Amino acid sequence: MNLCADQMVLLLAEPGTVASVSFLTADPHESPVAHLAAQTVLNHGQAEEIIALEPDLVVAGRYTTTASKILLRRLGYPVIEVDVPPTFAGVRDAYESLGAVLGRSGQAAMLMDRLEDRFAVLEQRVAGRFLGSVLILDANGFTVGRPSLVDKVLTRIGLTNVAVQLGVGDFGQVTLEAVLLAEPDYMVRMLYRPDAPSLANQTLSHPAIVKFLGGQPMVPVPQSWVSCGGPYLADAAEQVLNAITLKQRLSQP
Amino acid sequence: MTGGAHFEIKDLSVGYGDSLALDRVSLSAKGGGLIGLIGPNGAGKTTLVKAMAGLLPVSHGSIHLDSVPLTSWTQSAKAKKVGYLSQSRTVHWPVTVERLVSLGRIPHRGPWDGVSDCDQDAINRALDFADIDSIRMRAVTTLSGGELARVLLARVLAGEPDAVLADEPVSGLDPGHRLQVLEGLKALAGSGRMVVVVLHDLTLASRFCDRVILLHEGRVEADGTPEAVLVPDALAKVYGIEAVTVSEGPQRAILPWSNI
Amino acid sequence: MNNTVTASGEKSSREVRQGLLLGGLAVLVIVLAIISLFVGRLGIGGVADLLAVQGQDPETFRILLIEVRLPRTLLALTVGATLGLSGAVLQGLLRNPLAEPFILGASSSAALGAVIVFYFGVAGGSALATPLGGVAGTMVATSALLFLGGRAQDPLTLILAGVALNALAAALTSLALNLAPSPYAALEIVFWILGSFADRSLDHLVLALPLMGIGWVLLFSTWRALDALSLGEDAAASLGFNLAAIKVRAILGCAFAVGAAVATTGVISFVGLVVPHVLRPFIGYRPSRLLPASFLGGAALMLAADIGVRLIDTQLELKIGVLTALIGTPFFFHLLYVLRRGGR
Repeated sequence: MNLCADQMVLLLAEPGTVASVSFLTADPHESPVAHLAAQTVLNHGQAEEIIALEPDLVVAGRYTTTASKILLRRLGYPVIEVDVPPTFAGVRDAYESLGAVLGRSGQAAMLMDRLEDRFAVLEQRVAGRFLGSVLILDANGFTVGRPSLVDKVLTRIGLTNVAVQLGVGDFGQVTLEAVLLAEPDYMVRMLYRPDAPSLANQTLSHPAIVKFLGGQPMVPVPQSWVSCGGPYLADAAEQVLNAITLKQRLSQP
Repeated sequence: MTGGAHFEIKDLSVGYGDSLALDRVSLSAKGGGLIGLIGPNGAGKTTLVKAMAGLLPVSHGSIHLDSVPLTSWTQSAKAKKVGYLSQSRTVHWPVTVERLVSLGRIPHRGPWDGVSDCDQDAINRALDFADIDSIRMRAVTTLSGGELARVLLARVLAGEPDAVLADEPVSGLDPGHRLQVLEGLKALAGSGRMVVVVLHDLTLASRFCDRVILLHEGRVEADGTPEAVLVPDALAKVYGIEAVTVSEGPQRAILPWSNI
Repeated sequence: MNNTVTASGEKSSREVRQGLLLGGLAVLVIVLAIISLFVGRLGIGGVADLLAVQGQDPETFRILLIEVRLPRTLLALTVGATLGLSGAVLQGLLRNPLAEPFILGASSSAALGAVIVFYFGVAGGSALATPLGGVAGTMVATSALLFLGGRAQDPLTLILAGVALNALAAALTSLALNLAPSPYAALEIVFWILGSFADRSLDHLVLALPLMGIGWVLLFSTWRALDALSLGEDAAASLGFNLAAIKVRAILGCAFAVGAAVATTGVISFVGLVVPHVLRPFIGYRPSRLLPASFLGGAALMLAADIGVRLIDTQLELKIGVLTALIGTPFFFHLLYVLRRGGR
């Protein structure tokens, strides 16, 4: 019933056992596992839709409509809540517990081990060096600070998060001027429906930023990869590290 | 400075919607004598004066000014030639009296010209005529009804137009100022300008006007000297009143006495 | 004769004072513009910071100043001037001291036009299309208002028409934003309804400025007629003014200037009400003189408000419409009260 919960379920569950996922999960802009939801019935978080499918288990998130959860429980459906704390250990715990409930502990362990391996590879490439400061920019000047999983990802691959310097919490806004004055070495752009016009997207292509970057593009990362804690964090980390290593190589004489 | 203006109105009809305010009116007017326009409420006096000022669309007939159709006159030439004093006495901003009167000089000034000496003289003469020189620096919104009426008249006269069309210039004025203004307008007309005034007071019309036009239901009921027009039959027909006439030498006072 | 001498002495000293007022306003605008270039949010990016950055990295300093601060300052200046000028023209034209683009619904209609064009990619989404959308919105609204309410004797009737138009435009804008393809659109209504100069770029300015310029020329061209209109429409016509042409110029001028301004910065309220009203006594109540005074006064007020918004300590920068509404609404009620009592 929830984007992040759905992602976990689709990655862990045996194919064919998933009765329904949220309509958001089927949207490739919103979720990186949209392709896995292709054949599944879509729901809109309404209790009636769930009841009609008579599931054996309902997986919801912390922020799923409380009224729906209460109603479903009262009607006798087992509802478990999934919440991923913003640490790597937390991610592992969450996947392993859900895996146990679904009877797919093996799958959970495999996913988490693979995630750790990929990060280990990245850390080897970085080899303990400090690569520079990064500012992540989302539409409307939003950025990700501390504490957050994204922040931890950056630290693991040798980057400091400028947003922390600017005092941003889990998620917050920074002004254009603050961005320029902080002079980040690299900028990462969260991609989310870049084609639909909005003022929010306009801020990302403000001439001040374009000129500051000297015409270079920001490193693009699809937002769907980082909005939930999970295996796709590794994809995001790889994308950023690859782009930065390339820039560094190109800027060397 | 004596100018002249000659209005030739033929078969004029002006309609507001389906009803005609003026119905085939024909008359000719020029300077030399004060022309009074009288008639009951709704007879069409204001409509006629506005039409002569070129402010109303004409549904039938024609108006010629100095042998040229009124519609062919350019806005600026017409503004210099014809001065129109409206019946409504609203002013919108508390400007000074002198500033308001100076607006009458607009047709004579270019867009960027200030008030020239010639303009100032005309303004001073107008202020004098309307006896408002003593209040020239007061804000117009602080004036009494009578003072404001005189200020608005002065504005029209400041432009020194060859034709003056004044819609009820003396209503609301005290007796002294009524006489003063009408004497002045009569002198103005006598010097060659065309002056048409709309009046309600029959005595003033008979005493000061050299020619009286009586309008009734959009048509000219009578047109001639006051003695010829202001006769009991006409008054009974048009106003539905009986009047008492009092003579003082050659001049007559006509006092509406009772409804018939 | 004595009267005339003292009167003309009084007159020329009044002229001098009025000239000084205009000069003073111009200087004020320049000073505020310079201050605006060097004020950052909550003290960040103030003079000290800028000089530090200039020393270390002149390129960033240049970018900050030219790409961020300059468009903000110039937009505040030109949009403020636009709102002041159009307020003065509307008040002179309609002889109504409550008339101004926001109250009459012109600004909200501009926002609606701009929103429809921008969020739905009308006209291929070219950058010029958005301000033109604003122009179209204002044109429709102002024409409707002038031809429906222009003859109203009671000034309040016109205001009521404006209120209705404002409500309609705001509702349609909200609807449009909710239907827009971008998920951010619905939240951006705050920008459109309350206005902001933040994060606008020189590109925005370059597109809006010619349109505003056309509007200014048209609006200023009505100056003489406004003086004559203080006598009423008939008298003004008899003085040689073509009232229909004047009205068309005022409508088009408002449309271009306010339309382009709002399309770039959102709706900013009440500037066109406050500025002319405050300055009117100082220029002898002459509608024609009020135009340049309101132009400069509006620019000064807007710059001051924009500087204020940057100095006020809030988590997210305040939208400028909040400040202008806080100043303007009590002002509006005061004017309403005075009008009701029969004063001016």
